[in-house]
This record gives sequence, C-alpha cells and structure tokens, in this order.
Amino acid sequence: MQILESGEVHDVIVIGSGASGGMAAYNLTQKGVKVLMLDAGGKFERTKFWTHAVPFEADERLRHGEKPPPFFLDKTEQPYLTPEGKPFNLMRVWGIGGKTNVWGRVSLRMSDLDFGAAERDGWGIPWPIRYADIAPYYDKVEQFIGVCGGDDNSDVLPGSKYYMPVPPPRCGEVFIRKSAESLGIPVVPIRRANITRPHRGFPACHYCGNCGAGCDTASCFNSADHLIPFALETGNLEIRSRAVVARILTDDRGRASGVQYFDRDSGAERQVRGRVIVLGASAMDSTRILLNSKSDIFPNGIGNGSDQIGRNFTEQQMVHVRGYLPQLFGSGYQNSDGIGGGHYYIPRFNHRSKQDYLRGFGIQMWNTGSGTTGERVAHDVPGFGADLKAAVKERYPALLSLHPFGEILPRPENRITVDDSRTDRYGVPLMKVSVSFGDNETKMRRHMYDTAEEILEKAGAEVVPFDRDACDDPGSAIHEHSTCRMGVDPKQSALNAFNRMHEVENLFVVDGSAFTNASEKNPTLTILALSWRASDYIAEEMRTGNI
Amino acid sequence: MDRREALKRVGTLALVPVLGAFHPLVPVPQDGGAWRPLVLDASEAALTADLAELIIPETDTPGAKKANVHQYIDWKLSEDTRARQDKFRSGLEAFAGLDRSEQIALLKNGGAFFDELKSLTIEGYYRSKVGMIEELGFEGRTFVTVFDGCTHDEHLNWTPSDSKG
Repeated sequence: MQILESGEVHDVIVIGSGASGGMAAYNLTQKGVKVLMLDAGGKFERTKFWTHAVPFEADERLRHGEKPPPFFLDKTEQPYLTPEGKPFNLMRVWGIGGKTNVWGRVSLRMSDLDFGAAERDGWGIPWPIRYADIAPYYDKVEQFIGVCGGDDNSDVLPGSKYYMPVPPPRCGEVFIRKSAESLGIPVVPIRRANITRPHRGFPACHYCGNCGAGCDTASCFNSADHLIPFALETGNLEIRSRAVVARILTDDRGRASGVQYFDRDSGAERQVRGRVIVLGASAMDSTRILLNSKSDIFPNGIGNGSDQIGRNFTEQQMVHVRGYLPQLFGSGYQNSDGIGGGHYYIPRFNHRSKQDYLRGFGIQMWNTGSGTTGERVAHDVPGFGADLKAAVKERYPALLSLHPFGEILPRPENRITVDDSRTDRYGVPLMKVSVSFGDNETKMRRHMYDTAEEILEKAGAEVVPFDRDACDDPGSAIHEHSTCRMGVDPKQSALNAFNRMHEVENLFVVDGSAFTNASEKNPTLTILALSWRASDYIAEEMRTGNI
Repeated sequence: MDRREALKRVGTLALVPVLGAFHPLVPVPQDGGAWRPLVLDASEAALTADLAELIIPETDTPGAKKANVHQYIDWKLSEDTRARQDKFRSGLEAFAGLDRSEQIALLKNGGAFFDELKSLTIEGYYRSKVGMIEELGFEGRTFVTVFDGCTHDEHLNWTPSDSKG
C-alpha cells in the first residue's frame, strides 16, 4: 500500500535529532538547504527537568504521582531480541535531542592511534580517514558546543586550542592523580562539554553535578538546545515528531526515494519523499531501519550488498573498581558535584609497552568524593547498628572510584539482524542483537582491573573486593558502533569517507554506526565532527548538482 | 496551595542562582500521624520501623525511625512485585513478638531477609532529609559560581611514598 502524503520532494530528510541528526540538520539549514526532520519522540521540556531535585525531594515528588521526563524508551514499547545467554543492555532515547539530553558529556578527540588501529595491529579494516581529515571539524565542534579541557596533547589524545577551563579536582582525584603518575601512568584534565563560561547565550555551568538528569540551564551540549533551535531559526527546518521510521524507500534505479514511518500515537503509516536521506537514528535503530529496507534491488537491506550492515558491532567494555582512602576518613562533607563526572581522565597508556592483547583502555573516575547520598558507602560496610552508621559517616568523603573503558574488537559474528517472524506494534520486524566478548576482551579486562587496583592501592586506599570476571553487560557503555561502517573497500564496508553509502549515492549514515572501530573513547565529539563533515559534503554535492 | 503545587513552586525557585544559597528543602512529614501504609498492615509497619531503627539507630543524630524509613520501605514495596512484598512480609514474621535483644540476635544471623531489610533501610535513611542533611551534612546539587575542589594543603602536598601503599 502506498500512502504518499503529497507529491512534495524534500531536499533532505534527516532521521533522528541527536548528536548526528541534529548536527546534520543544523549545518544543512545554515547553508540554505530545506530539511525535513523525522524524530521518534517529542520535545522534553527543559524547565521540567529534575536537575536540582535532591533524592528526598525526588522521592516526595514520585510519592505524589509526579514523574521525571521519560527520557529512556520503554523496552516493552519497542522490544529487541537477544539470544539465550547473551544479554544486551540497549538504552534508547526517542525524542528531540536523543541521548544528548542525558549523555555523559565526555568529549575526547580520537587520534591516529584510533584511525590507524587496523594498520597497526592487523585486526579489522582501516578507516578511510585520518586525524588530519577530522581535526578541523573537532576544532569547529569544540568552539561551537563548548568543551572544557586542559592544555595536554599526546599521541593518544590530541590537544585543542579551544577549551574552556576545567574546575579543580576533588580531594580523592588529587590522590588518584599522584598515585597514577607515580606508577608512570599520565593523568590529564577531563574534556567535557560543560561550558564553564557563558557561551552562545547559554549560562556557565553552575556545578550542581547532576548532568545525568538533564541540564535545566543547558550549560552542557544538548542537541535539543544547542542545535535544533538554531536550525529552526533559519526557517529551513520542519520537524515531524513522534514519527517512528521503519524503512528507507528505494526507487527502481536503487536510489533512496523516501522514508516510510509510523505515527507513534495513531499507528498510521506515512511516507515522505526526499532527494537525499540522512540517517542519524543512533547506531542500533539506524541499522534496524537499513536491514528492514528490503527491495528487489536490495534483498538484504538497502546498501547491504556487502553483507556488512549489522555486523562488526563494537563498543567498550566497562568495569568498576572502588576503594576508601583512610587519609580522607572523617574529613566531613566535601562538595564533590563539580561538572558531574571526573575532573581528571587517564588516557590510554598500554601501547607504550607490549601487551598480550590488542587495542587499549582509558580510565574515568566519576563518583570519586562525597556522594550525593551515603547509600553506596553503606552497602560497602558490613553489619548494622551504630557501628555501621559511624563507619558510613567516616567513609562518606573517602570514596575513590575508577571506571576503565576498553575497546571491543570488531568481529563479524557480533551483529544485529532483523527477525521477520517477530514484529513490533507497527508490523515491522524487530531487531535481534547478538553480542559477546572474546579472548582479547578477557585479557584486556585483566589489565583494566589490575591497573585500577594498583592505582587505588598505591594511593593507600582500602580496595572494595571485586569479581575479576565481572563486566557490565554488552551495551552498557551506550556507545554502539560499526554496524554500518566506513571503509575504503565497498566489499568490506557500507559507507565511504563522507558517510555516503557505497551502494546508494543519496543515502548517508552519520551516527555511531559509521565508526570503523570503537576506540576506547567516548564517541559523541567524533559523531558531531563526522556529521558536520558529511553534511558539508552533502551541501556541496547538492550545490554542484551531483545529487 | 496544595502540596503538589508547592513542590512545583520549589522547583521553579531552585532555578534562581544564588551564590552559596542552599536549595529550598521540601518538608517531609515527620509525625507519621496521617500516614497510611500501602502494603504493610499497622503492626507490620511498626515492626519494620523497629527493625530499621536497629539497622540505623538514633545516636547523636536521628535514626531510621525519625527519618520515617518504614514509610519509605512501604512505598518502595508498593512499587514492586507482589512476590517481593510477600517475601518481605513473611521475613518480618520471624521477628514478631521478639524482644529487642532477640531481634538483634536474629539480625546477626544474616540471610536474605536481613540483606533486603538493610538494603531498603540504608536506601531510605541516606536518601532522607535526616540522612542526607543532618547525618552527612550534604550541601550539594545547588548553584555555585565557582567550584573550589580540593583546597587542603595536606592533600595537595601528599606524595605516594608517604603512604603505606
């Protein structure tokens, strides 16, 4: 059944409004291109965020029937399948701004260690770009969104001239830094998209530390505040909310001709037509859409003649080690909110010596310092009664917390597929996610644990016992990648160096699925840079009539 | 102005940045007089309050009872499955009719009910105004124009060789 809304052909249809879709729409509309944006949710009202609700206030509100903004998609509304024994923790935000409403804000530049990883160790395929290709876009993104950081610059973490100041470290971070450095592990100021000075009309960060609830002053980058309103101002952006995209439509020449979506409220099917389609629905949903976009020309999903789409899933494995530092026992409450996460970062260092595994890990340190509540500490103290209460008070300011993030190697069997026998409420096949970690990950994880433990012990901390085999379920880092990867060889990749499909010249995929490998770094800064770069290319190709 | 409206207004007030000002606190009912349990019956609620007070007792600061932890536990159970509710209630039964020292002895034996009770109690206590503010002196999640970070010479001048590590 063809349900065409009208004969109108939109210049560009952008699917998704987060870091990737938001940036593409912003950049294209600034250049005068008319954009129709489809987003699966609506706008989250910033004035209604629970940014400053302390736990007992939040509990009171909940007990009176109020609810915080429903950022995360209910898994029962849009289920996904996993094989027995292979859990996957998929976190999705359907709504304007997507996950940038609540993201971790860590903004690390990838380096040629990352872009050249496959050449270096022979695993996987090479990126079609190098640091020099993306560096000008990192510069632009950092100036645009506002990132705080230090003046460090290394082979792992290239520096920038455009950082705002990072606030000073908490007490515990001072100890972590000195301990790590005494072990020969460099520690640098974190790079985070909190604006520590007023920027583009937004007030500076006020150091409440609760970034994860959404920032009610928009003092850290959120596509919904920092990109979409400016795209709307041009008059070139139309947003269609609560439009759940199912498929990219194909014409008889194998070009993308439009998009099929379902109205999230009525369930009605709709179709829109476009000259160029930009997919930025986040790695998992973009992949689901591509695999469901089957036609005579593309029986395995649009642009998937290579059978690479859905395969090679990558991300980071995450572990956590914490301890209590006697030097800080009984030191009383210290405001540790700051910019939410750690004020320092431990960049990858493992490549400076020989390892029995490939790739690397970096270490973050959120939660170090006095917590918001004493719950975590109380769970770590055995027993009950006055002794428990006294121990919690003593240890409350003394928590050191380390969180190594390690790269997962791309492997073809770690993949997303769609299951034609199981469909969602719109009758569209569900996605199936099959991911497990391998030997390389196990070996790296050992090193991750050993390093975190060594840093805490060297500082003199009492390390809380941990299970060396434990690892957060796949998906927990919320950094999904590579299921529609860029590459030089169309047989081994889906996208070219400008996020354009090898097999479909007017279809671009600009989210994390485009990454050739994950690296150990948080991806949003790179997604923004790649999307800006790809949309520059699209605008130029449209201007010159190539598409 | 009803309670929900009051909470909304507090939310609005909290948007005004004031250097050093603490966020306005929402009053939590302390008397328990008007409180009606959602899951537990009256004697179970009273027993829960007694046991929670054994987990976090009153010392120089208030304990679980004054923080209304039993109300928190009842509310959390009401949001959970019937199975968890039933498990908690049957766990309570073993403590009914025991005196304080017998209850303490039973708690010391540990086990699944102890873990559940302790978990709910520390959650309820350390999330409460009493636990956060009176006990631990929390002053955060507010608006400050400058974040000081560590200002202690003994930390800033520390070197790892000084430590036992």
